[in-house]
Amino acid sequence: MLDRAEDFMGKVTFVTGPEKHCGKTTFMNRAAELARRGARASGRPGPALLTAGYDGESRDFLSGARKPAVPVCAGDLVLTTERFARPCLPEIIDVLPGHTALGRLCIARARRASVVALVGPDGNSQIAWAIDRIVAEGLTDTVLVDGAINRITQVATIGSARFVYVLRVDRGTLGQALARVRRIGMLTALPVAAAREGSQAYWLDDALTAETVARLPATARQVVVDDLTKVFLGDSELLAFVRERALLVRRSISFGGFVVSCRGLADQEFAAALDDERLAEMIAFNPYEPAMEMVA
Amino acid sequence: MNGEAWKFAQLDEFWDHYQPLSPWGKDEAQARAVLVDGPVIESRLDDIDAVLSLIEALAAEPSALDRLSYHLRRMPRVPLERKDAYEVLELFQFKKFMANYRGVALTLRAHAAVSCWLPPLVESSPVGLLALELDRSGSDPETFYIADTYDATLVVARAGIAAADQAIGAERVKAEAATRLEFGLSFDGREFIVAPRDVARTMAEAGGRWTVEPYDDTRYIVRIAPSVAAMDAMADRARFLEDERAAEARVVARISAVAGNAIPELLAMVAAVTRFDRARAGAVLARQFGMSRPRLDSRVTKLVGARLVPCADECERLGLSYTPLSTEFGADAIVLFGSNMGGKTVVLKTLIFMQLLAQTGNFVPATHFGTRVYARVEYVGELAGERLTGLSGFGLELWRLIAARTAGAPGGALLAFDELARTTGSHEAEALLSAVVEAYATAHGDRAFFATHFRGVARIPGVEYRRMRGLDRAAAGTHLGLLSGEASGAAGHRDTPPLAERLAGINRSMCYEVLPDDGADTESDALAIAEFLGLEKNLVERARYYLTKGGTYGVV
Repeated sequence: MLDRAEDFMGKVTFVTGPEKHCGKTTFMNRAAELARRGARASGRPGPALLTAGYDGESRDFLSGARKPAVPVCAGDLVLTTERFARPCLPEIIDVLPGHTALGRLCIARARRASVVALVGPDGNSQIAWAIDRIVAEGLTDTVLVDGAINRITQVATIGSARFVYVLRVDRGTLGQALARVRRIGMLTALPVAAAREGSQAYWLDDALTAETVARLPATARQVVVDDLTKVFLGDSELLAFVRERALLVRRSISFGGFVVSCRGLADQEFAAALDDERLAEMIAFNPYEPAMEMVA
Repeated sequence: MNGEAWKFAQLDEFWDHYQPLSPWGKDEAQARAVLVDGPVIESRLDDIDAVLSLIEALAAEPSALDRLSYHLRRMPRVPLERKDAYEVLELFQFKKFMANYRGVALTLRAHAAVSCWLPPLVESSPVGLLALELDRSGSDPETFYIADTYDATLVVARAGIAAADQAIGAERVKAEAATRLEFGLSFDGREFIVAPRDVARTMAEAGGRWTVEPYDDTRYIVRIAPSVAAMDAMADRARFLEDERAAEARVVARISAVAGNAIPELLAMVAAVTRFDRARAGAVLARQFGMSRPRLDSRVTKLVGARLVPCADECERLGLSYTPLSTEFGADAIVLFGSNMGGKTVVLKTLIFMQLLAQTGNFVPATHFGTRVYARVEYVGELAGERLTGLSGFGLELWRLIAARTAGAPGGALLAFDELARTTGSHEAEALLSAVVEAYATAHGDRAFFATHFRGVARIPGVEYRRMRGLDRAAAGTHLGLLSGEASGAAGHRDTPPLAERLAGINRSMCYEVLPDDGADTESDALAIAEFLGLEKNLVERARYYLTKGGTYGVV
């Protein structure tokens, strides 16, 4: 799972995660390599590599703090500033409207292999604009987006997108990681509500937060939110909520699976602690830990 | 003040249909500029006429129209000021702009009336030279990069980088193969791998070909250390990269100089594109709404079949009929009487809507609209949903009146006063209204419209007095009887039939027509409407009694 070219080719995949340094960029690099090989083998264009939001991570770049660089090959597309794309001899295909703190962003095609830094636009709408430009104009149909910290909201703006959730686990964070996996598992499995017209459910136009929950009428046994990104309840609050009421979404967002990198505990220990077969099937473990082959 | 008139006339709801496609056309649409220069407006109307003819000529070739839209939509903003060095992205924008400019010009080439706006690029001109420079790179007419062909040094530097990359790659392949062969671990293109501790420790001891660092207590992170040959290649690469940077900077400086010389021509090209885009958007709008060219040389304000589109749309949504406006006004001051729901505000809105639209340089949704260009188009009254801190409705009206009176400008003003002073006592309101009407009747150059239901406004020489035809009481009576018959209790019971049905009934029985008013009719439709809405009959009858007796108490 999430270890073959077909898992990414022809898809718009947002690589998201709960915090900084959880391995999103590192995983995206691996996914890009797999997609690139698949593209070469089938004569299709290489992947497009983007990042969404630059708040924490780009500042790291500016301050010189280490941030995984993104290797690209000739034929890949990137979204970044022209200056940051320069090592890959970029052919400029389009310029995004507006400016970022790091300069104007462009969609460019790499003309040689190199390592670049990606810079993302400020808002979700610009990411959507760039992806639409890339996909609708046939530049490529494989897009990988390095998601912003703690945000999967951007996924909702692209109709055909799906997301994967990357997290790093050690013994100290095992409980929190398990809760996160269960929470995402629950949110991605929320049923889709039927049409609003004639519905008995309570349709919430705002996000589902502790405040909006407090304002819900007691009679609202079924509550519908736009999509999973509108649920801002913590793990325990969400569990309490779904014990009392049914939670539905107006629109589902595709989910590609979890990528779990265990440190200080074995992958099997994590799976055993999760104790959930449905969720376990959605997990791919550290893609940088290849199985040992027999040495002759 | 134009902004308030714009809001009053609900023009924004219509303006969304006006859709230029280029960045500069969009800027203009966003600015909502109301023009006051007659020849400029006429020239814009001429342009729309020309594009309407073009669209007609291209009717058999719809793909040509699509092509025009395609190229306009793809035009990027370009820097229009001279610089010593443009960014690479700006050079790209020049190229993309010119590619799409050529696309438009080429599509229009057989249509002389419009193609003369966008002359083809001349190779020997500064902009032609810029195009030649930029066309030396890119895999298609819109893309750009600094190609090897721009500078001989680039060829050498990039060949050097490619050779170094190849050497580094070959070393990497060898190292990956060795790792697999010796330890059964496959990097498979990964920058690093996580390996069992014992294996990693053995690798660390194997002559520096791998670097290792602890990952956790059972695993290590392993990276391939560059070989001596790979490090030599990296050093070569760094040197060639420096050469490449220097050469690229020279290329950018050279193309920038060419671009700088082309700025005056580029400015003219942007102006030409804006002109065509604006006219195209106006022509599309005119066709969509069956609009006609306004006549701006008319002494009278004349409307034939004038449609206030937002109102017509709303009527359609509500299942009500909409009557286009046909009328004519010649005086400097016009007083328009009418009951509530009689349509006098819609008349004002229609006038302002047509005037503003005409002064944006567009056609209007009317069979005929005759007017002249005014320096100001103003509305005096309360806007929907408006509340101004510290000012009552009356205070706000007066504030706007004072502003309108003091904002004199050559060229006159078209003003719409909707129910001036309606929130104050009727006696004083009529006096104030009379004074304002008188002031505009004698101040030549402006044309002011006053909608009111105060029948006691002074009859002043030179003022045109008009009224809405109002309720067809016979038709309304028939309808009222029909509704009453359906009601379970006394005629006019408030609960049945529902309000919406009664309002629709009033709408069906209302005649939205402007007539001369001789002041003879004392009763507007207010009492009839009250009756039609279901007010108790005896209350309506007593109201009629007091109306005829001038307020004197009595028993019938």
